[in-house]
Amino acid sequence: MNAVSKTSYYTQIVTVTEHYLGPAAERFIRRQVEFHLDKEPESISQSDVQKLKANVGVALGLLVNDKTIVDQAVGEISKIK
Amino acid sequence: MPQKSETNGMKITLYVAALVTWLISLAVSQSQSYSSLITQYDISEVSARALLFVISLPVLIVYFAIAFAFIRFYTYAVRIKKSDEGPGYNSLAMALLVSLVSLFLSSLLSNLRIQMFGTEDRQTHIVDYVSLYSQIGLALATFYLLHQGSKQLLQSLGSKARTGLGLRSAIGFSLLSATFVYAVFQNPIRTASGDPSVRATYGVNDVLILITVILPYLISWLLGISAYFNLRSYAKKVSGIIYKQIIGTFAAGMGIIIFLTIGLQFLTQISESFRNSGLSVILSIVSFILIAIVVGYLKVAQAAKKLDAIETL
Repeated sequence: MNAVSKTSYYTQIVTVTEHYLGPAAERFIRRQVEFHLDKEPESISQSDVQKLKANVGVALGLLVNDKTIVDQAVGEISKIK
Repeated sequence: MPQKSETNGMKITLYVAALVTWLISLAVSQSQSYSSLITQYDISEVSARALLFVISLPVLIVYFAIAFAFIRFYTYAVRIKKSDEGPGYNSLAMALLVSLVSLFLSSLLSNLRIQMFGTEDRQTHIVDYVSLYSQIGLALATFYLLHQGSKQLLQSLGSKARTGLGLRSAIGFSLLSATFVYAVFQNPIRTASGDPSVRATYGVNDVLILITVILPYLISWLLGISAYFNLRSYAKKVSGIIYKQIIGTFAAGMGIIIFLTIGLQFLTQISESFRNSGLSVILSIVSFILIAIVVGYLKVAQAAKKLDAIETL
């Protein structure tokens, strides 16, 4: 059960990010997890997702000038349970 | 991932090659062409030399813009080469490189011809055929790679590339082709010139002009136009709000490059028709096209920078 939940956190955050970064989303999230959390992507927990939220928000903010899009993305990641 | 030193090495090599090619061209034109400009347009020596410098400057800017776009794009393509869309971006990067090589080669062969035979020589030599057919070949290669890359990008989404043009595009392309064929065959000095002061444009018979000049250009333009529509389709179908914006900028840049390159090639081949229009008309058209092409390459470079940022943030 735990293994399924842990996998789904990674899948969930990738799915949310795909809405913004398309085909680059999985590579992006994988790199954030490996660099900022020093973990295997598939092993992240819900608290890890919330830690990633800030990093994803900063990165998206550098890619696009529209704050609404960044806030929307961060909001969607916050909802991952 | 590309090592920074490799990218820097490539950057330096391309920029130096661009500068050297331009300097050679400038030196040759200054030494050979200023006197004919004085005679043809009744201007002073200083004006003629200044004019040659000003005419040459956009070319250097175009070289640097293409080199800049290629380096940015290639860096990104290598970084994501194992991804589904990697091969597509790689083909597009190679297209940019081939277009840059084409410009360098055209300039070097033109200057070689001037050095070997002077500006007054009006015979058709081997170097003229090499120049003509290398341009045609490289134009075909550039547009083929653009088409391949655009097709591979669409395929990465599980989409098929368009197999034909839409009705409006087909009509537009037909008009372009008909105008081009008509203009080429209206050129009285396309196969030979009766005037010793004027060089034959192609120096081959009409059948060879049709098969080795007209057809390859039309095929390459068709590939280029198709590539543009594939890229636009990719920009529409790909997911990701931010990714789409970036790809939209990229597709717009490629569209500018593709259509203006076609325009430039079209004008170059039918330039006999503009012979009597005067210096200012020719300069205005070519300068506008060169400036606009630079904008296209800078848009591509801007998009590549953002795409690469996604992979490094």
